[in-house]
Amino acid sequence: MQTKKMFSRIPDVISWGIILILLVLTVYPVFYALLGSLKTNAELTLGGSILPKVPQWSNYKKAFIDANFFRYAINSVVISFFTMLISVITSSLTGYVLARHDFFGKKFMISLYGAMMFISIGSVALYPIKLFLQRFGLDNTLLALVLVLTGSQITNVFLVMGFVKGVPKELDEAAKLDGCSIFAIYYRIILPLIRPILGVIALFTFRNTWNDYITTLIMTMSNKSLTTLTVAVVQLKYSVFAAAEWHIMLAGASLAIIPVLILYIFTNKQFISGLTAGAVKG
Amino acid sequence: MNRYSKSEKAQIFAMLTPNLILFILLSVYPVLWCFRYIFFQYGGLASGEPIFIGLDNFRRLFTNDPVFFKALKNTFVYAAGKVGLVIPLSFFSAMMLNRKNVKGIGFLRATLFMPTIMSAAVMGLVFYLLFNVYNGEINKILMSLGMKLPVNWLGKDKAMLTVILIGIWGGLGNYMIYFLAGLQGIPQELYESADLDGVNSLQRTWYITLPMLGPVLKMILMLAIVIAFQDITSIMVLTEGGPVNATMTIFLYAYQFFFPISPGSIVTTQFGYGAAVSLVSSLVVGAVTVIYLILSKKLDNLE
Amino acid sequence: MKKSRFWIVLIVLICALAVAVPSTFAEEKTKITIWSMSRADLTFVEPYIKAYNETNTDGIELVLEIYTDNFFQAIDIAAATGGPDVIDLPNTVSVFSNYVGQGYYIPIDQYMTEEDKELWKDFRIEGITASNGELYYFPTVATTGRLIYNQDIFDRVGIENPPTTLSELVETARIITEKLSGEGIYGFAANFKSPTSALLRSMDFLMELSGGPCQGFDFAKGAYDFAPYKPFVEAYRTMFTEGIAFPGCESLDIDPLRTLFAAGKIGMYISWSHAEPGVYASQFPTDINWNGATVPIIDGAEKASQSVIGYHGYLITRDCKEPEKAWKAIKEVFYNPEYIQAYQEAGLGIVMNPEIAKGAGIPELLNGKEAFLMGPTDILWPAVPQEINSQAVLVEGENMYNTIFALILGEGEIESTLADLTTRYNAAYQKGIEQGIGNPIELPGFDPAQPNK
Repeated sequence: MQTKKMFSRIPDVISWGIILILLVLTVYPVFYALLGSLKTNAELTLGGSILPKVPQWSNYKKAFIDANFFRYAINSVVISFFTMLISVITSSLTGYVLARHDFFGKKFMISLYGAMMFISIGSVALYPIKLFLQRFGLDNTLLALVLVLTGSQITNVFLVMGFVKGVPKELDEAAKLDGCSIFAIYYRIILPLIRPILGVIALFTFRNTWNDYITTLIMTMSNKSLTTLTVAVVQLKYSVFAAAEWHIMLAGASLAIIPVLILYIFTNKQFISGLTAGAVKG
Repeated sequence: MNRYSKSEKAQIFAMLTPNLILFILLSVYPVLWCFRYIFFQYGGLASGEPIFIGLDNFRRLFTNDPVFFKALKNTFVYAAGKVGLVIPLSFFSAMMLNRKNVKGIGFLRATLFMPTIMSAAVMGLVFYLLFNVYNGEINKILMSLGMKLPVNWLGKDKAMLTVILIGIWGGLGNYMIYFLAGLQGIPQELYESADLDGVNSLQRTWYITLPMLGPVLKMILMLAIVIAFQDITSIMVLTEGGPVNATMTIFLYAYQFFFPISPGSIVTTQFGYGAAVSLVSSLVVGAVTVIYLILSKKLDNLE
Repeated sequence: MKKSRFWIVLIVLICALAVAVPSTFAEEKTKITIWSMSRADLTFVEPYIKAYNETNTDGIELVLEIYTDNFFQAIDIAAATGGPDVIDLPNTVSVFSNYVGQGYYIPIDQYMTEEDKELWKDFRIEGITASNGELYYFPTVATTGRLIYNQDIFDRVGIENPPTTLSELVETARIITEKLSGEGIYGFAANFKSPTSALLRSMDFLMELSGGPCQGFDFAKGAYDFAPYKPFVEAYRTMFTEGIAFPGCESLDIDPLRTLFAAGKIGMYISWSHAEPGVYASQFPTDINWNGATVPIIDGAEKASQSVIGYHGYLITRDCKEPEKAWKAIKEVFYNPEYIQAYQEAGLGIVMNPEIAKGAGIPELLNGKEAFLMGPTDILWPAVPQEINSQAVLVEGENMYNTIFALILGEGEIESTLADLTTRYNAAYQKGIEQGIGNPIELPGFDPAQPNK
């Protein structure tokens, strides 16, 4: 019996071994970036120790000043915040109306939204959008960038819709008898009750916006001063830094990674449960 | 139908408007724009007025564009490689981490999930440094382990493999969480009765977990396939579709007719042709989805 | 209650930030915005702009904006919907030729004095600086291609002179790699991360100097012909498939290549004549002994001439509200002979105008590196159809650079692939003419040794 138990442990050991390897491989690139950002360029390119010999905090100073990252960091915060705010507002308004009210063309609207989920022309769509904004002189503005990043929110609308449907209808009706308007029902009754899903939407939108590359790159192409940290960091690859200053590139990359990483440390439970909420309901 | 007062109708309309405007402008309009331009030759200001050329863009695409077909093949290779590896790996991880009340299990999950919150573009940059042929950390580690020549990770033969590996890195945690959610939905009693019958763990997985996971697995697979077809950010940053189009995928190929992939790339903008490429690309994804749905239904019927 | 107060404070703070972001500067002066792609010479240019902004009495403020990435894209969009007042032309003439037909640029004859006209009289070249007889700009500095080599490596393996033909190039590279690859030193490298960028600066000059076509176009025939590229492809294929060239060139960008060269790991490569001296003086300082030479030519070919590419020309756009002031400012700063001479003396480029060049000293960093100056075989060539308007030559399938790069890596059969390239380019060229976007170009009796005659 004893030997049999030992024998059956072997697959277990192998399995946990694989998990361990996966863990190391998962963490390694991030650690490489964070630790590398504190090394000298020579340490990075010649290889050697995992930890920096003497932490080079000046790399960050250089990234902030030479590469103008301070400005981009502020842009990232402002843009991500407003995109998050507008996303939550627009998707919850529409999701609520679709879940609770009838209007002419509602069926058509829902099926059109559903259909657009499956029609993807990719980032090519940004070209007509950019042209359109230019025609009205709206390009190169913070507002336009935030609105384009907000996007049409199809998945979020459906998420909210599903969630609102789970709220007992009696609550609405009671409020209506009390004289609440449609908007008041949304604001007073529904919003507080669907807060968990709004939190998930906010969290994911913030992450997506902060991390977005292609949309922001294209929308800020002729107005660099609006660019975000992510875009600025990746653009370092095409600058002289790419050749000889890997430490500055990694400092930049870390600057883009650290804020989301901190956010993640505090909210990883919400992130993980939010993902499944989205998957199951959407 | 007329149970709403005028003011209520106005409210409904007002509440729908913000999102509806964004939807029409950012989702519907670009698709219509693309539909219009597939019949034109147009490259921006320098080409003059758009020239109507009928279906000539499709003639060119299907008869005289080997790059598109290479990109198409690459897209399937990438999707197959990524999905084929990430699904078993994430399923395995989910099985291993599907335990309650074990200390540190939450930490393990959170760690494996972490890549999901990272910017694909920024990590593409980091991977670019890691996989660098000459100074890259990975080659240095391999050479210190006795490898003679540096591995040409970003060369034409290995670039696709590298891109797939990075795709897996970014997707593993995501699908693991989906699987975990699915696993937690399986009634515990099933396992308990199986344990009474003296079933080993492999049998448990095969006879209980997989069948019970069926619908979730189907959804995850579909999600993984559709996402894999459209992944362009990390490829764009890491290899820019090269070398010699070894990592060019259909959506990246369409993109470069509108925008430069990298500052150095000089591809003449061709909006009409690019629109045709992106339309065909989206049809390919649509077709794959439909075929997948039909196949998975057929499988159901067999059982 | 407390919670909502926190949110209000946060929102107000972020709103304040948002307002602060776009409106950093208040406007008073006539702003002349210049878009430039050139970051390398920024430290040289900035003081001139600053001095001009502080001293000029016309209330003009020059604002230089650098676009290292997406420059061409930004110009395309700007041309359609509005952009800068002035564009600093990079070494790609299409920035001028693509848009001049749409009336995007303002001709400068009206502002030029007789003196100006006299000084720049040789620079009215149809398709390159002029259109329909009207002049739009003149390039101040010039560049072309040169072979860059590491003298120390040559000495170590016993090579006396840099190669002058393709077969010598391959042999030299082979010797270096055979003897020194154990130390990680290889004979030849190219920045094939972007095949276009790599071949534009090497193959094009090499083919021209060998008397071959210019970017695939044969001016005498008035048609494309890629057959003459065969010896070039064969030589490069030998280097890149037989392990002679530096490993990993497929993903090598020019700057990483330069750092490797500076570290003494690369024997030879081909690049722009204007850039390398400055690069190794300031950007990637090096102890190695290096020099430049004329690019090699095809074996048995007669040395013809190679094209010179002018850049740093200043185009005034139609979006400029006060073109006269813009002209005044760029004449005062960038077209100023003293500025151009100082530019050369700082080792940043080679003066193009022979009149101005007379007064320019040879920069210290070109001492012993005279090969980087303009020589008798460096001549302005006429523009090829795809340079005049890339939209007039819409090639179906891969372009010439990517096709040739695939051949170099050993993919495909050389002769048939080049023949196919010829067919595709000519078809595109003819189509462009039929559609009225391009114009036929034929220069009977064209002599590649005297392309400007």
